[in-house]
Amino acid sequence: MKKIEDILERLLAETREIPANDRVPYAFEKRIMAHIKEAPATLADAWSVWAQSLWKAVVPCLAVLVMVAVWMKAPADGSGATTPQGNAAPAVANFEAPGEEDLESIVMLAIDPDSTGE
Amino acid sequence: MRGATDKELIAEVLEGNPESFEPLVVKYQPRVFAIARRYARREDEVEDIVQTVFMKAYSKLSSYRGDAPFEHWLMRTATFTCYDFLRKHQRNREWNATDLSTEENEWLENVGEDTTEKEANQSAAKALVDRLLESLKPDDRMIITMLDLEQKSVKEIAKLTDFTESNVKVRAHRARDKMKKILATLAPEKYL
Repeated sequence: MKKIEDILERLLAETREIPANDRVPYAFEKRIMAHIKEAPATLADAWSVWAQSLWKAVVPCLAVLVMVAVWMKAPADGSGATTPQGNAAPAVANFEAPGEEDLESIVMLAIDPDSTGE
Repeated sequence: MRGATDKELIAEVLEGNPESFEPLVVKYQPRVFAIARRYARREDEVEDIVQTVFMKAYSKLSSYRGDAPFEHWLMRTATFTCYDFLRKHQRNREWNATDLSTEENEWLENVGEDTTEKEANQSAAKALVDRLLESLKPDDRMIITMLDLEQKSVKEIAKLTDFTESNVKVRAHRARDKMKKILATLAPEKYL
């Protein structure tokens, strides 16, 4: 009685004996090189598609910008319904610009740390 | 250009000279063709695989670090490309003894006997092995092909496929079991 394992081993052994077919079609490398030389053009096309889509995005982005600007301005016009403060003007953070002396001492601190006490 | 090493050619390609890739294609295409023919039957499929391998290699050449020979890196690319091909063209056809050709049936009838028609025997054996391999999952098929036909080591296969060595062994064992089961269905009264 023949064992399946032996049969499989024999099948694989006989197949192994067949030399690998490494024949290359005539001038196949030319075909590869032709495709490779086309590749940069494809890359350039990809960039132009990207640029076109960016240009197309400009109009919707501007529209959103205008809508946001209008929405931001609306409470300040006095409608007031959207803010908890009613008709009160929206709170705005108020930063005072540093005085000229302060600015000078900050700059000098960076140059000469010892001069701060003077 | 003539006599330049792989590394020199690769450096030239990366500097913007695509022509330097051609000697690499000429040098390695026989090996890539041999690998592709293990997984695809039709010659147009084989050519598509080889072309994809070299196109991938060219486009990803900057990722080749140079710490291993270029040939290893290219063979890894070829392995993954063949794997992709197998996944896309997975046939998993059901077949039985009536589908076998006369030569395949004769091989099974006369297995173990010495015959003079060695070449015919080998091609019948190959046809049967191809049938068995087609019934396996793509990754199992790759492992059996590399292990039992190309006689690569488990370590080499693990490197080429990103599987662990134990995973390669488990998959090979499972795949052989499946092949044995299919063989047993062909003529159970003869072989069991």
